[in-house]
Amino acid sequence: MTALAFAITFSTPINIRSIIAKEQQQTFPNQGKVIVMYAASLVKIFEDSLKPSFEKKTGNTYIGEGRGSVQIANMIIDGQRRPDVFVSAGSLPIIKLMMSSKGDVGDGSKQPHPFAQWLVKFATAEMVIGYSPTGRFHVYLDKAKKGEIPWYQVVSMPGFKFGRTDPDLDPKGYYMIIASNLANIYYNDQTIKQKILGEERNPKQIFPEETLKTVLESGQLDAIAVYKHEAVARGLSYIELPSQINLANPAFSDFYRKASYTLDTGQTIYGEPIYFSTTIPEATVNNLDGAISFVRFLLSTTDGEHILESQGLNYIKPIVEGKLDKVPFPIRSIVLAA
Amino acid sequence: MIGIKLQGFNVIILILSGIVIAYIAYPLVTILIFVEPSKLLDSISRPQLIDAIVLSLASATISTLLLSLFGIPFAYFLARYNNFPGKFLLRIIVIIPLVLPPLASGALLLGVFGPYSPVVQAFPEVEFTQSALGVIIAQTYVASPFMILASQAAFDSVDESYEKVARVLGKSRFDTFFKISLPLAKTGIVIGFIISWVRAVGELGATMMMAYNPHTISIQIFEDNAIGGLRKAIPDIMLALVLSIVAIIVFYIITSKRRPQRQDVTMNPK
Repeated sequence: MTALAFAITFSTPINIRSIIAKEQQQTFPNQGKVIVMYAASLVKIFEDSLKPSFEKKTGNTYIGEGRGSVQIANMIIDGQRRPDVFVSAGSLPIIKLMMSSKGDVGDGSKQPHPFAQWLVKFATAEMVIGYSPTGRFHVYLDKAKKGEIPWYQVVSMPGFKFGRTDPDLDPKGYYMIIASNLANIYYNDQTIKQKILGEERNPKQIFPEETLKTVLESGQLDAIAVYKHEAVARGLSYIELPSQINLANPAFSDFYRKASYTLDTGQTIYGEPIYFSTTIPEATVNNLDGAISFVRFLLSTTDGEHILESQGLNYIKPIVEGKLDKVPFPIRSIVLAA
Repeated sequence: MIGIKLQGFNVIILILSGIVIAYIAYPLVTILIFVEPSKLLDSISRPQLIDAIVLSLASATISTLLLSLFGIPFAYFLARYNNFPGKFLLRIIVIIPLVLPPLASGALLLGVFGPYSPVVQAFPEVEFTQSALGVIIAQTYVASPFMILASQAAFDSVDESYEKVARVLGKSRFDTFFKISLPLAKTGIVIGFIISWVRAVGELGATMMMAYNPHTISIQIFEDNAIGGLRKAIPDIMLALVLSIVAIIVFYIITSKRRPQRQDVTMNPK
């Protein structure tokens, strides 16, 4: 009885409806939940800035989860998540969805039913070396930032602890490996990558994306591979890399292609400019109106662009890949008008 | 000679105990390093954080009640009816949620309650994952061994002869269980309840898989740490610590008042 009293006292604020019933989207079409899975590097921007603006402007409820983009694609394919919108670092995780099918379309034609059929590239990101302004090697890193000494020399100093993310879960992980390969070519020194990374899957350097910046701040690492917008959002100092290796400039696409990384699954990823991309996965979307509303918000100059550019993400004229005719009209019209 | 030995023994015990207490309590000093008192009140009154706390406390309570309903009878079964082939296998199964890494438990639960599974197809209107129900499913799974094993140990320590006397005197099995076995095992069961509840509140790995949203307090701490490091997560941690301690103290007070004195079973013929 006492346990029951205890339970009732604490359970009262919880709406029982919210425990078991689906949101009544039919009754309130404009106020449904929009489930957004996004690249974890965007967590601060999305949760602290985009979410309140989006909810205020559209009346929708934003439900977000940030993880490594490759991991998100895997979870969708495995049936562990069914988001309305997927915002990915790089377009490859969404391309993986476009090439994976969930059974067939069910019209007797036995045509495969891909998880997604289109994506919109809307911004580029830049690889930088992030560090704490008060960390152990910050004097040297500050000099490297000013160009007084090469950054790769500082990062390969004895005792220097460099951190990055898992290349099989997070695009940033394989982008750093690719950037290191490019550094070998660009600086004409085949030892650079080995000196800064050790082996590609170096357990001493690899940390989960969600905790990497905290591990840096606690002093366990001296510098980390991050996107510029993450460093800005977190207040980290950062060293900019040459355009030929920072994967940010579409003009160097051909040069970027010279380096690659092969995932555990056997898929080989070639260097490319890092395009942040988004899609509404056809096979998992539940609230299509809400999803369209979110993507429009993300792509719009006055909303998404305004918020994300202030954090260091560079918006580009949107590029569609995949089936343009499958892109919902309200999104197509933004893309074509840009 | 004996006096000196006892003194040495006490000193060693005290030193070892001191080390344990320091090991557990010292990390809390980190809170003092990172806390920003001027922002504290604003941080802990964020609606997001309050929602997370309420969800954690309520879902843990519901999970533990479910575990009591099913786990206590099962524990009685394990304690009393233990002469059948396969009893060893049963005992192994019980500790599986304890041994499995919570993330693994969560992934396996997703297999049962994920959108393409038969269970979910049978009840399409119910949101088993990414919902408060998903939180409860995850918590119940990982906390189950605590309730079952604690209750089983409690029943093991109840002298069966009391139960046999009650049966001889004509009490039904139900009466015997509720009026003899359960009260005598109450202390151990209450401890099982508290440990299960605490485990459920602190659960992260399985919940991350089954229900990242709505955020429990553990996930809120995880996300705030991802967004702004310890600085952002500290207020959450402080609030969680304080409320959990308060809840456990309250529970201890309530249950210790009701705890029956250990007295002889009265022979009361019907």
